[in-house]
Amino acid sequence: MSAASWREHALTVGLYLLVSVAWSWPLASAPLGILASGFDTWGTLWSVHASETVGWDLLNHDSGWPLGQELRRSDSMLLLLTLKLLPGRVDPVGAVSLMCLLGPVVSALAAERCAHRALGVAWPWSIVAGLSFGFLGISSATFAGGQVYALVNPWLPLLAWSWYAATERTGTWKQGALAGLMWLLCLLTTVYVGLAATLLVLAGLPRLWRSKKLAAAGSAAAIALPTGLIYVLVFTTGAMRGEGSGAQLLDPLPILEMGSATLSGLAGWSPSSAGVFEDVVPLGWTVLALVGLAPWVLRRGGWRWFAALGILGLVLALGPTLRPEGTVRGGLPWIWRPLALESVVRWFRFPVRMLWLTGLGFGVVAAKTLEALGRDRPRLALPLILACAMESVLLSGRAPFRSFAIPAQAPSAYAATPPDRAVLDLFPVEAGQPVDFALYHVDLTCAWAAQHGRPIAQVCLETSPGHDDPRSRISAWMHDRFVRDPDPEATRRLLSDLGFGAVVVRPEHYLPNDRRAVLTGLEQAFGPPIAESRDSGEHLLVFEVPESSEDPLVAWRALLSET
Amino acid sequence: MLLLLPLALANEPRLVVAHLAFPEGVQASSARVELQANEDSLELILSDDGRSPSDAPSDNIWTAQGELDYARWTAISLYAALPGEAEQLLYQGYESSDELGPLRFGWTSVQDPDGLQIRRSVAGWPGASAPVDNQRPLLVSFGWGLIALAWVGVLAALRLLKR
Repeated sequence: MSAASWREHALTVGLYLLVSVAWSWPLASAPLGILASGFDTWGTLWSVHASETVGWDLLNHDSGWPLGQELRRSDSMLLLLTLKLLPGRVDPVGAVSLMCLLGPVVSALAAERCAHRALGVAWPWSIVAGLSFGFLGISSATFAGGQVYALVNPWLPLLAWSWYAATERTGTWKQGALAGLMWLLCLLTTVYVGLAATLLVLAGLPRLWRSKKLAAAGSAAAIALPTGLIYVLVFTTGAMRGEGSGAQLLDPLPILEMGSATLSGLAGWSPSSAGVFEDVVPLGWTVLALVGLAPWVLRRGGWRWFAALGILGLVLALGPTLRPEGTVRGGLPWIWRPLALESVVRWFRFPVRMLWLTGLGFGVVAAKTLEALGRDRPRLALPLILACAMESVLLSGRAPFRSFAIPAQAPSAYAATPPDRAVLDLFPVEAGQPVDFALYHVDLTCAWAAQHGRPIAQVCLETSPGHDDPRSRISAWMHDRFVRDPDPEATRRLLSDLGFGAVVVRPEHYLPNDRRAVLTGLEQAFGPPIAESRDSGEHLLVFEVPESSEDPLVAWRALLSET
Repeated sequence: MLLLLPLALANEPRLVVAHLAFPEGVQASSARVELQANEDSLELILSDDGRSPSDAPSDNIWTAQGELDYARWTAISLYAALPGEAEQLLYQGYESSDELGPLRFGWTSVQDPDGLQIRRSVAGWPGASAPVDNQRPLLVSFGWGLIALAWVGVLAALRLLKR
C-alpha cells in the first residue's frame, strides 16, 4: 500500500473516531464508569460477564442459581464466543464502552471499503457510505436501545462487497467463500443482522443467475449451510420466553408495530419520547438527497443493486402498518400485515432492524452520487463530507441528545457478601407496578452480578419480570413467610441449603408495612445486616446466610414440591 | 480528573425541577409534589408567581425546584387543589431517574367531566399543553408524500424533456 493510501485510511479512521466520540457523548468522558446507551445495555453488561463463566455446553451456572441457565438463545453468539476465547477477565463496563466507541468506527470503515471495492467510489467520497451505515438509521437506534454488540458489524458491508464481487462475471470461489463466512458472522452477531444478511444474499441471486458463477455460489454454500444449520439447531432447542407456561401473547399486531419504523422516526424526529429505543431511525437527509439524485447523476451500473437493497430494507422495516409516528394507532396496512401472527411474533418482533440493509445500500449509492457530483469540483469534498458528518451526528441522528450519563458501578455493599456463594437479591413485585420498573430491577441485579462475580438466582437472558425463575420463586416463598407465617428457622435453613451466602434487600422499594415485615423477618432469620451501602443510587442492606453442606439442587426440589 | 467527574456527580445532591401545566380556564389554588429518592425525601410547593427561578409568572404552568440525592428511581406523588375544593392526589408512581444531571418532571393536566386528569409530559414548558398531537402525524405523512411526489415528478419531467 502506498504512503498516500495509508494517509487516506488514517484520515478516514480519524474522522470516524471523532464522529463516534461526538455521537456517543458523554461516554468518552468516563468510559469505565458510566453507560450512555439505552436500556438493554444492562443486559449487555451481564452478557459480557456470562461469556467468561459459560461452559462449552452453553450452560451458565452463575445465573438462575441453583439450576443455572442455558444461553442457546443468546442474542449475540459472537460476543459470547469471542469474549470466552479471550484470556483474563474483561471489565464489563469497559467492554461495553469499547463496543460503543469503536464498533461504529469498524462498521463504517467496512462500509467505506465496500463502496470503494464494489462500485469503485474514490476516496474521500467513499467516507459518506461509512457515515450512513455506522452512525445513521438503525445504528443510531441500536445505540439508543443498548444492543451495542450489534454496532460491531463490519460483516454486513464485507458480505455485500464479497457477494457482489462473487456474483459478477469475474467472480471467484474465494470471493464466494468469503461471502459465506461473512454471512455466518452476521448471523452470529445477532439473528436480525443474520436475517438482513440472508435477504442480501437472496437479492444477489438474479446476478448469480446471469453470471453463472456456480463455483462462487458453491463455496459460499459450503461454509454457510452447515454452520447455519448448526446455529439454527442450537438456537431453536433453547428455552423460549414463557414457553411451557401456557401464556399467550396479547395481540401480535401492536407488538409487531412497536418494533417497526415510522415515518417520523425515519425522518429523525420523534416527539413522543427521546428514550424510545427503536423509534428514531434517521436515514439522514444528506444521504436521502444524494440517493434521490442518483437516477440523474449516475449511469447504468451496480449502484442500482445497492439502491434496491436500501429500498428492500426500508419497505420491510415499516412492518405491518404504515404509521406517521409511534404514538398513533392505526394506519395503512403494510407488507408484514399477513405475518402479524402469534407464531411469527414469538420469533420476530423488530422489522425495523431490516434497516441495516438501508443504511448500507443507501450509503453506498450516496457515496457514488457524491463522487459523480464532486468529480469536477474536488474542493467541495471536505466541506460536503464534514456537513454530512455534522448532519448525521447533530441533526438527523442527534444521538448525543438522546443519550445520558448513567453511573454503572455496582453498589459497594455487594463486596461484603461471601465471595464463594450465591447472592439472593430480594425486591418486591407489586401488582400494578410499571413493567419497565420491575424489568429495571431485574436488569440491575444481573448487571451488578457482572461486577461482583457471585452467582445469582435471577435468570438474566429472558428477563421478563415475574418469569418463573429461581429468584421469583424463592422471593415469593420468603415474602409469604415474612408477611403471613414467620418462621425464621425454616427461612434460614432453606437459604443455607440452597447455597446462598447473602440476601441483599432494597428497603425503600417496599411499601411501609411490607418493609417492616420483610426487615423483621430477615433479622429474625439471619441477625442484623452485615453491610449497608448508599452509593450508586441505591440503598442496600446485606444479610449473611450461614453455610450448609446440603446439595442446593436437593433443596431446590424440596422447595418446588412445597410450593 | 475529567474522567471522574460524572461519577463524582453521582454523590452530589442534584437539582429537581417540577412543572405542572393547567389547561386554559382552570385556575388552581395550590399544587405540590412529594418526592422520595431512597432515604431522602423532598416536598416541592409549586407556584405560578415567578418565585421559582425557572417560572414565568401567570402562564398557568406551576413550577418549583429543590435538591434531592441521586437515586436510580424516584417515588412521586402530585397533589393539586382548585379554588374552594379539597386537595386531590393527581398522580402517584415511580419515575426512572438514573441519568446524571438535573431532573425535570413535567405534567400536563386536562379538565374532563371526572375532574382534572394528568398526563406525564417531557417537561411542562409553555406550549406543552397545546393540542398539536392531532396535526403532527398528518404533517409527517404529507411531508413524506410531498417529497416522494416531487421526486417522481421531477424524474418524469426530465424523462419527457430528454425525449
